[in-house]
Amino acid sequence: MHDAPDASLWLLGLAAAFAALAIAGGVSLRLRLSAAPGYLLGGVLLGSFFDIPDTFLHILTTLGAMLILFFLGLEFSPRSLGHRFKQLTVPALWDGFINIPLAFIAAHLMGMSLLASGLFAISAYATSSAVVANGLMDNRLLALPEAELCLGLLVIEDLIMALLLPLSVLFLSSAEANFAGHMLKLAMAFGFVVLIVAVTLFLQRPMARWLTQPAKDLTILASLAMLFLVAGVGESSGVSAAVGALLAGMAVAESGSREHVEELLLPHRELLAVGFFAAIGAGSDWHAIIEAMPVILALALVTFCSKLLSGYLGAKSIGMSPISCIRSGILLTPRGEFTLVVAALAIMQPWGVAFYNTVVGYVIVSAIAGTIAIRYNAPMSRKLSALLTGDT
Amino acid sequence: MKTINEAPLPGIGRKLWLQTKQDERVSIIAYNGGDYEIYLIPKGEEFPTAAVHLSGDEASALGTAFPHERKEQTASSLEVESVVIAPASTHIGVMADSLRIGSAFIAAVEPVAGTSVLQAASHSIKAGDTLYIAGSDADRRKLMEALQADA
Repeated sequence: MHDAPDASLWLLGLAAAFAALAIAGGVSLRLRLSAAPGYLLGGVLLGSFFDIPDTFLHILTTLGAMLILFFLGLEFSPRSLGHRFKQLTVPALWDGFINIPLAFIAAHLMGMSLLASGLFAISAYATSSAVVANGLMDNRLLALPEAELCLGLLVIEDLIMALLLPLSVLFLSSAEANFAGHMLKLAMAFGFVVLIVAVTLFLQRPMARWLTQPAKDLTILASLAMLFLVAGVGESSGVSAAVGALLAGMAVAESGSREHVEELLLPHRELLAVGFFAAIGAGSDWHAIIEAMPVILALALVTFCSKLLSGYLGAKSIGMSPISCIRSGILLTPRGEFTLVVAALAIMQPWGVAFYNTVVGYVIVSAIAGTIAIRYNAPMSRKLSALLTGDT
Repeated sequence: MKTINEAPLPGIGRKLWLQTKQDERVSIIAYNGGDYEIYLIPKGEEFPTAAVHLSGDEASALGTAFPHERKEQTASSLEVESVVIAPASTHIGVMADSLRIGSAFIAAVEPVAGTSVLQAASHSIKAGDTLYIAGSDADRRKLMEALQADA
């Protein structure tokens, strides 16, 4: 305690940070954009003015990613997955087989190494659930038939990302491990996922009891204890804390305690999600982002178009009208939280800092462009439809 | 009888919709937080031309205007019964869901609000609350005995 910093300094620092983020998020919303790019840009500004310890940013990023993915996990349980997969198999296949290869080729053509291109392709695959959900609500698009298709696809994307993230970690550590080491890591990751699914399916009742404490504060503590336990074991088994958190969310959903855990943890999620975007922004370098802007814009354009195409073909495969197919594509364009989680994995690589800055810039551009596209969904889809049919 | 279609909206809630005889589409968005939105998409239109946002209470009030209520379907082995919490009950302050004995607690109605059905799992039990219990005979009896022991 003797070396503790002056409390007034960090309290004032936190006050400045909260105020800056409130203003940045507020401006973003005033411009009718998602708040996420505002928080990212606010973080970039804070990082350029203040010397924020890397450890603090790392902890904030990890906690934020965990809470965001925990809440994503709450939205689906293993039992309900089978049914949704059947409905959305073909759209999900289009989504994966178009977006991942195109993003890989674009990144490689822009000068990224094979490994960095592969990681970018994975990061750019996932659409931002937060930006799309807000876009659908703010623009009153939930009544449209493509809303459930897009939200369902996002759930599948999140699940596929849960498989791709540990593989990314494995590939990134390839320089340090031999074949046997890889197999051991893969076995540990697989064992962890099997363990969590088994616990989810067979220990629902004890889990529900654990999550149903006699007071709200105890329920919050019990939920966080479970979340941190699964995330911690996930991290040590090579699956990553983020995926552990996603699985913990799925386990809670399956236990039947989703509603009250969600209600109690929501304010914590809101705060830590802001912290996540701000910490990611603060860890980046705005000079590097501006320097990489031509590459960022090119990647954003290619991946915007690839989502348009995959969304169109996916919706078409389940019999939607041409205009609904175009709107589905538009709704799937913004990238966000998962893209940043993948970017954070690369930071320790020799090429990691440049990659990180590029991806942060990419998410800012993509989230802004995606939000605008969702807002102008109607005229855009009509114009694109006219172009496709040659009816001008 | 006309059926209402339903689809989950992950992270938001669920959507119910009905195609009318006039080929209009009425969509209801039931948000996870308990609010509702009703949209009308007229025949031949792509986007809704009317939308209304309702709180849970407003939606319940609106629901009473319709003569045929939507009936909940339960498995034949399940029954529902209710118990009023006595002022001296040792269960006051306890979170409703912690009382599960196999059976599922489904809802609580506060005496003051009268008609407001509260969130089941996170509800902290108060004197005078009416708790509705669903479950198999044996489980329901055990839970009812536990609740009535100190009534």
